[in-house]
Formats: sequence, C-alpha cells, structure tokens
Amino acid sequence: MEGGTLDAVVKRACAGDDDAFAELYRQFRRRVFGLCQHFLGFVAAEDASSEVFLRAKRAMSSYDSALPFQRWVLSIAAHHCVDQLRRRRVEQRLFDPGAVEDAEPAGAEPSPLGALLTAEERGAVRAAVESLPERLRLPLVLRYYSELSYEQIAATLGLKRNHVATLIFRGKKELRRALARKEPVQ
Amino acid sequence: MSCFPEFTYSVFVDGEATAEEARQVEAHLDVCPACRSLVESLRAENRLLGDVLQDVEEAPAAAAGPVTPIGPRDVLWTGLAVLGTAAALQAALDWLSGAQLPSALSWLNPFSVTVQWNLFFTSLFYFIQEGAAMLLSNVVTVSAMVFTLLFGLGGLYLLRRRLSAVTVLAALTLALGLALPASALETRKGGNVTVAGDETIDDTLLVHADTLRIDGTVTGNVIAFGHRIEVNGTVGGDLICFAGTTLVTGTVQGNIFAFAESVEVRGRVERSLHAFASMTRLEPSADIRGDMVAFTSHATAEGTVGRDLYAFAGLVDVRGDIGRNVVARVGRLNLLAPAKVSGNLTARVKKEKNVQIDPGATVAGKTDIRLAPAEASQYLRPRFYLEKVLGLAVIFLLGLFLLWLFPAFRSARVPGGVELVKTAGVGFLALVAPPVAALLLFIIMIGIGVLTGAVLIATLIPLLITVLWLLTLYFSKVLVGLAIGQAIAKAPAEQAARVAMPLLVGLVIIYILISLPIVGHVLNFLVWLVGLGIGVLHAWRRPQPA
Repeated sequence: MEGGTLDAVVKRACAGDDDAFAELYRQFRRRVFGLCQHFLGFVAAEDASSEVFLRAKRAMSSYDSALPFQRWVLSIAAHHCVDQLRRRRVEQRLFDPGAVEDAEPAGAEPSPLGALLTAEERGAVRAAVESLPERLRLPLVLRYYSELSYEQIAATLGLKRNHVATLIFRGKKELRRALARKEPVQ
Repeated sequence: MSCFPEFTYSVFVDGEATAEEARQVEAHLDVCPACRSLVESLRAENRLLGDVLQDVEEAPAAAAGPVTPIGPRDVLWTGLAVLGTAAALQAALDWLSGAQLPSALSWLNPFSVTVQWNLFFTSLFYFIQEGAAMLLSNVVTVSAMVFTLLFGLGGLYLLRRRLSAVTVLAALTLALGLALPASALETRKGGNVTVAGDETIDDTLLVHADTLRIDGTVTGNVIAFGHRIEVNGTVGGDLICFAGTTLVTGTVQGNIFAFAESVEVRGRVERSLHAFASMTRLEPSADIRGDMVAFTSHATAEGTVGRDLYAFAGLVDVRGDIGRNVVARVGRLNLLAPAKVSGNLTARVKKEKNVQIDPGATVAGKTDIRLAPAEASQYLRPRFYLEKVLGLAVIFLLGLFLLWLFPAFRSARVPGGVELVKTAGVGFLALVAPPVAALLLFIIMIGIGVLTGAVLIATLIPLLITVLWLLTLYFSKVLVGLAIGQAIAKAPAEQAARVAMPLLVGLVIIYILISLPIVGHVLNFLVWLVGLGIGVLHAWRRPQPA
C-alpha cells in the first residue's frame, strides 16, 4: 500500500475508526506475529500479537505520526514481548550487566555469513538464531527484523546504547560460530 | 592510517556510527580494499539476516472476514455468547423433543444411560469384590502416584513455560495443605471391624475391612470400604461407603452416600440418602428426613421420605410416605397402597402402562406421566432429522469457535497407514485415562473433602476433568470433520485459515455416517479415537518456546 493511503488509514484509526484499525491489523499482523514468534516462540506468539494490537488500539490516540507506524507498533510488540519474557523468569532481569565482560574466545574467527540461498541453509541460519541465548538473540531480532535503531533497542531492553552495539556484534559472531560448527559456510 | 576493528565496521554498517567516525571509516575504506571487502560482506550478512528473519510461520489468526484482535475480554464475551447460543439451540432441541432432556441429549452420547450405569456398577463391584482386601492401600499408592505424576507434569510444564516461582510455591502449599489433614483421622483395618455398643469414637472413622459393624457411636464421618457395612448405632456425620452391602438400622445424622451393590435402610437418616446401587431398599421402619436420590436398578421405598424422591431406575416400588414430590425416570413405577405422595408425581416411562397407581395410593398434587419416544422408528420421524440438523448446526458453530480460539488445530490432518493406527491408539488412551483418573481422584478427593469438611469443593476437580473429557469427546468430531473436509477439498496446509466450508462438509459426512443403524455407533467410536488422537498429538507436537 502506498504511503499516502497508509497515512490516511492511520489517521482514521487514530480518530477511533474501527474499520481503519482492522485494516492496519491486516497489514501489520504478520510482522508483529513474526517479532513475537522470534521472542516467545510460535505457541505464545499468537496471544502476544493479539495483546499487542489491543495495546496499540488503546494507545492509538497518542500515536505520533513522526514515527512510521510499523516501527511504532513493532516497538509496542517488543516491549510487550520483553515483559512476557521477564514474567517467564523467576529472576526479573533479562540482561546481566556482568555478562558483557565475557572474554571473546581466541582463535580463528569465521568470516561474515555469505549469501545463502537454499531453503535448507536459510533454515539452518534461523535455527542458529533461535539457539542464541536471549540476550544476544533479542537485540539481533530488534535490529534486523524490526529495524529499530540502537537507541530504540536500548530503550526497549533497558540497556545502554553501547551495550546494544556490543551485543549485536557478539550475536553475529556467535551466529557465525554456530553455523561454522555445523558445516563450513562460505 | 591503520585498519579499524571489525566492531567499528559493524556499527558503521548498521548506520549507527557518529558523523565523525563515519567520515574516518569512509576515508579509510577509500584506500583499503581488504576493509572494503569486509564491509561489503558485513552488509551482505545484515541483508541475509534481515531476509532470513522474515521467514516466520504464518500467523494463524483468522484471515477472512472482519479482523479484530482477540483479547481475553473478547474471548470471555464470545464464550458467553456461544454458550448462550448453544443454550438457546439446546432449548430449541428440548422443545422439539417435548421437553425431554435425555432423549434430546442422546445425540451427544450414543450409549444409553442404562448401559453406562451398568458399566459403572460392574467396574465398581469388580473393584470392591476383587480388590476389597487391598483397596485402601491401593488408594494410598494410587494417590501417591497421581500426585507424583501431577508434580512431574507440573515440573515439565514449568520447565517448558518457565512460570514464576509463585506457581511453584502455590502448588507446594496446596499439596502440603492437602496432605496435612490425613493425620487427623482414626483408621481401622482388618477382617471384621466392630465399634462396640458402649464405644464412642470422637473422630472421623476410616475403615477398610471385610465387614464393619458399628453398634456404638461415631461422632464424625464414617468412610468405609468393605464387603458388608452395618450401622446399628449412631453416626454423627455423613456415612460414605463403597461396599457390597450397606445396611443402616441405626441413625445417621448426616447424609448417606452409598456406592454399593445393595443399600438397605431400616433406621433414621437425618439428611439425605444418595444411593448408587443395584438395589436400594427403604424398609417400612426407615425414616429419611431429607431427599432420597437413587441411581439404581431396583428401588423400593416402604418407609418415610421427608422431602423428594428422585429415582433413576429400572423398577421403583413406592409403598411409603413421600413428603414432597416423586420424580422418576424409570422403566416401571408402581405406587402401591398405602403409598402417599404429598407433592406431585412426575414419571418418565416408555409406555403408559408402565406406571401403576393402586387405588389405595394417593398423590396429593398433580400426576404427570410422560412417555419417552419409541426408539425403533427414529428414521421415520422428521424430528430425528431436524434434531440431527440442529445438532450439526450447534457443533459447527462451536467447532468454528474452537478453531478460532485455537487456530493451531486448523492444520489438523488425518494421517494415513501406520500413523492412523498410532493416532487411534493415542486416542484410545485419551478416551480411557481421564475417566479412570477422574474416578480415582473422586475417591481420593471425597476422602480429603470429608476430612476437611469440603466435600463439594473437593469433588470439583474430578467433575471438571469429566466435563473437560466430555467436551473433548464432543470436539473430536470437529477435528475429524475438518480433516475430512480439507482432504476432500484437497486444501493444502497453508490455506488452513479457511475452515468453515471444509468443516461443514466433513461434519455432514460424519453425521450421516454415525446416524447409520448399528455401524453408526462403531463409526462414532472410531471418530472419537481418531479425533482425540489427532487433538492430543497435535497439541503435543506444537513447537514450544525454548
């Protein structure tokens, strides 16, 4: 849908038009569902994305059109998912500040992942992302799926911006290592 | 200028470097082919990540029609609305069948009530007769096993779902709370247990014996397992017994709950008598102040019942004095002189002549004899088809609701070959395990409930299990119907969102098949097995969050 029309729909939704909101739901539910799935897994993703849209609907009147709608709704989703993850934990902290100082293992580092095309290889990358520990996976998903800035990711996860940069970098390295362990990736 | 570390390039490629940093990096890239190539591969990596992360399983929410996000409140309201609709449709069904609830409900359940009661009693008496000597220890063992199993499953669930510590604590507290009262109890075991005439037990008495004879007084409840239980003295609380024969010549100040082959009362019961027995007999000297509720094959009421008599029985003979109404759903009802019913008489029988009222017997209120519809000619009655269509409509609507609530089931498929046999096997387990578990839990919870004085609350869990089990049985048709419909429409799994039409087609086919004479019951049973199997396996195999 072209930008002008989307803006109009968003405006109508802001004014409380249920049909317009339903249209937004149709357009963005796949992306929101995807984010929830990356965070919480398939089973919980459905409830979570419903809840995200409920929250979005309630917050619609305070939506600031300076921010693209997709980014706005995805940041609601990210906040909600982080809440859910916190609730799942006995200890209420997702990120251990001490963990950043972990030493990088020495030795030859696999190079950045090349273009993988086959479905099987894509599946392997996805599995590798899923196998990452949460503190590495969430920043990666927020950066490359939700396309949030470091600043926004930091705000969502309650971290410092520099910490986010480190986690993303380490996440990618960990990913390369995981894939290199499985099979040599070009 | 020397090369920057890879971290700097990573931030740069993400567009997050400061203006100054970016300028320096760009200047370096102009002169360093190695770093240029590194940055290119980092960009490619980012694109690849973004691309791969888009591969998510399709959101299974309703794709067709006006889409509104589903929240807990919506679920509640929709649930209420569906229940309301179902109730209205059920009322229509009742009205259609002349306000005869059981026959209207029979499409829910192909086995007749009689068959089920027979099955229930047969298995119960098997337990009592074959296993009386070890029943109590079995109950203890089984409860330990059940609790272990529950804790195991609970632990597994917690591991999978990572619930909060509060849940664990609550579960532990509950378990401890349930376990503690077990010590406040007098237990007696043995071949013949007697509470002598001059003896008073100031407690709840739990007895497991071949025969129990209470000549004295028990101030609390009596829970007894045995071949023969005789109360000649006084029981201050309730008498709950699982026995071959139960005979009460003394006084029970609470209720009697008797699961027995025969129940005979000659004495006084201050509250109600609930008998689940082959034979239930009130002798002329019997005086029951409350209700008499008898699920039995032969009930005889020669004594006095202060309030209502409810009989679900093959044969009921009433000679005594009933303080209020008689409600009988029976094969045959005889009101023999000098019977006196102070309220109304409502009887549901197959033929008018199955109710016999002696000239010497009196009914103060109205006499209402209703005839159950003849079964043989059901295929000739238009009402039969109308009922089926309404039943179909109800299950279709409820099925749509179920699939809307749990969209994961939309991709359910009937497997072929060996898988089908496995699925049916799993279905068989799911068919058999819950009622057995509910029965055991019922026995355990009754015990706990009596000790803690909360019988009704204690029986809620087994009741819930039973209700859930019945619902699951009912919904197994939905899963099989959907699978059949989608197989006919050759719909690929990706189009699982469109369920209404395949579901309707599949349900129509199932309803036609299970309405066939004789084979219909067998087919219905198979539908249960396969549907339960699909449901269990499908629910189990869904990926769980790590």
